[in-house]
Amino acid sequence: METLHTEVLVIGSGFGAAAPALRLARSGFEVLMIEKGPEIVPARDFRQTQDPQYLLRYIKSVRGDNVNYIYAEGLGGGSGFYESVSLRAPTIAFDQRDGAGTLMWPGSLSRERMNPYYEIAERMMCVSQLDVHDIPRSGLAFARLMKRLGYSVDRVPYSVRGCVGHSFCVAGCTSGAKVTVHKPYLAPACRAGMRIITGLEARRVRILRHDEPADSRLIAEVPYRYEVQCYDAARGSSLEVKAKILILAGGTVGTARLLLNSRAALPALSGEVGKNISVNGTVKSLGILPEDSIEGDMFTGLSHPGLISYEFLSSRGITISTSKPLPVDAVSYANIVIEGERRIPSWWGEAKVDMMKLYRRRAIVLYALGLTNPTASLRLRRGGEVVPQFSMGDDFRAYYQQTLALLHSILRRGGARVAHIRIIDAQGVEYDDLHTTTAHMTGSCRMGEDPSRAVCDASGEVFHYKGMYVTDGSAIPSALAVNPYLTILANAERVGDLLKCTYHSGRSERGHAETVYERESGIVPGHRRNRLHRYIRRAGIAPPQSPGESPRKRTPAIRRQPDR
Amino acid sequence: MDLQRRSGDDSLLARLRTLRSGVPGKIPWRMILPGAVISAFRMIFKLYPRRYSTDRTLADQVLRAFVLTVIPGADHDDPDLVRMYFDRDYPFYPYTAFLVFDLVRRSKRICAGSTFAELGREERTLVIEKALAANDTVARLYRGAMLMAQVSYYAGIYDPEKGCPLIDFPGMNAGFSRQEISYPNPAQYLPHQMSLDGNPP
Repeated sequence: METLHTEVLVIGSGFGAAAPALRLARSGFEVLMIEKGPEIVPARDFRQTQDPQYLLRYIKSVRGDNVNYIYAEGLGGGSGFYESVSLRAPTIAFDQRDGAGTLMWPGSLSRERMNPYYEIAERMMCVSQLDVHDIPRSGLAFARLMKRLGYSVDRVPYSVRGCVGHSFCVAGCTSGAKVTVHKPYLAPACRAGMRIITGLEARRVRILRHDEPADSRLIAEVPYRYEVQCYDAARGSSLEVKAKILILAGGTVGTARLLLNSRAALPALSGEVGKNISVNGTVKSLGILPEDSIEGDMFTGLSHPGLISYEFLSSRGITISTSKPLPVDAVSYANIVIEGERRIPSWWGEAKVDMMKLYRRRAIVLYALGLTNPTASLRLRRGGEVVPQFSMGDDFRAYYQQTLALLHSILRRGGARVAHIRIIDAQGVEYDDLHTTTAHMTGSCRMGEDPSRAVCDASGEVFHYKGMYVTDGSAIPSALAVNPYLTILANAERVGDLLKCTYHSGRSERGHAETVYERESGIVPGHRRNRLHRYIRRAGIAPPQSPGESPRKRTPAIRRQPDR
Repeated sequence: MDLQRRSGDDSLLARLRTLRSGVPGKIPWRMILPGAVISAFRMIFKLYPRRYSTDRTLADQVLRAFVLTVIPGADHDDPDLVRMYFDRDYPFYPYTAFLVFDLVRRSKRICAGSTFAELGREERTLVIEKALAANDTVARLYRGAMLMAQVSYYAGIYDPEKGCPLIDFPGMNAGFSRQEISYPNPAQYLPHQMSLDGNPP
């Protein structure tokens, strides 16, 4: 079996992995990144399609009785498929306490302490607040509804440059407008010497016992501490990687799966691995806009329609947004019945077609995200796979019913008709209990101050395992009530910063010239650049290239092959 | 009724023939097994006439009629209308022949010998509703088939450029102008904000 040696091994390639990888590579460390999923070159591989075969190549899920977790597998992780919503977590998210009255976040972390890292993350991802003229029609229909009821809405900050409104953000942006980790993080990290291997799954971690010099900071003096057994499914071959610093960033599902499978070789691991998962309080509601409303448009503009309301954040711990799921979501995961619809059948046939015809212009989706307790978990099954479990206690059920009632109330008071969504499984059968599907799960290896209640400390280092860090969503100890990527990235930047202070490479810094993204992001606000790009596109001339940036390749329309 | 032959499993065939003729002894198996189990047996062991697996024209006619019942107004001549049922990439493929068989059998039973493709829409709707109300196995099969039809057609998965004209889904596009994405003077629709930069307090 082949064995590789590296100073730093980063497992995963999404938001949690990219930041420490870049910071350490630039500081002269030898960094190897491994990713289970395939290589993704956004300009080459992304497609404007809702074909499940395409989506399922990258989007994976694990299903449980009351919950499904959705996550991405591929170079760049979730950054290829997120909605670009770039929100800092509210202050009250950091102050949450569990049922025993204990703070969920380590006491040293707060919004204020995180703000400098949020700023770094925002600069790297070119985040800017959506210009008022770029708010999609569905967002404006939502704003009008909220305005009639006297509620506030705020324009959302996005990590987008030059959006042309394809509306396929969650299938992977084909125009290169959505900022993924590829350009701002992975490319400069590779320029600084980082190596990436895709299609390689980390299966088990084993500790290598050594007498370690006390407080060794120079990486050359640090022994190889961990051996990671990896498997290349395409080649059917195994590989071992020995590392001095191990960064676990395979996501809430992937990191927990790896540690649960490694428990025999890591006996001092906390019993909390795989537990304390938050589903971010996701509640969705669909309505049909009243006749006197302006029309929305589910098929143009950003996938997320640009606005969010904090009206109920302090009183109920929730934020309310509107969203634009594409038809494949609407028809495949739900049986939808509009209030007052008397035709039977209502979820297929004429009634369904009529509902789908209303969908583009007259439908509005409200969804709430909330500060619910982290009561979901992952259980290891025979064969090494994990299955989610969600002990949906009375607290969550009450939260769900009250939040759904609020969303319905907003729709009805705004003159809209409520459409009841019955969630169905892959075979079209309705779930007989509350069922939640989320891509916002966090916390399977949460940070904390007490090893009996958490997996890693506030620095991200796993309790009892020196040099092993968790930097992805699994370290985030609570629900956030907003999309979590910016918090995951900011926390990963923070841990990367701490690692740079803890260890020295003994080498000069590498590839530290600012990236095009960093240079540009400090100069031109996103919305002005958007206008410039749109003007250029309409004028039919090539977009300007920044120095050192290669011309963007136009992705040809890829059609599926005829019947095989 | 023919039994579909599969190479190399004569002993299995023998067991299935025994099952078909009745177990145990002379008691018809229908009388001792619930409908869901019978349907599952039929599906798994392909206990239906071979032509439902091999006659693509028959399958195409029946499935087109099925999709047009589930999605009234769908384009009858769409070359991709029933493609998902024959697509080996999707999990429904192994059950397609049984679905065709079941549709034909039910429509003959319910509508006096007519095949499913010959029926009017109301009669076809009746056949599907009765199937959905039958046993759990058949209901799951039909729900899965309807889900496949709706996902495939509304999302335009085989022709991303076309999208789905029935619901005005444009599919692949080169982007939209600001006038198409938003409305003039959008500020008039906005209520007050709670933050300066869009972030929560």
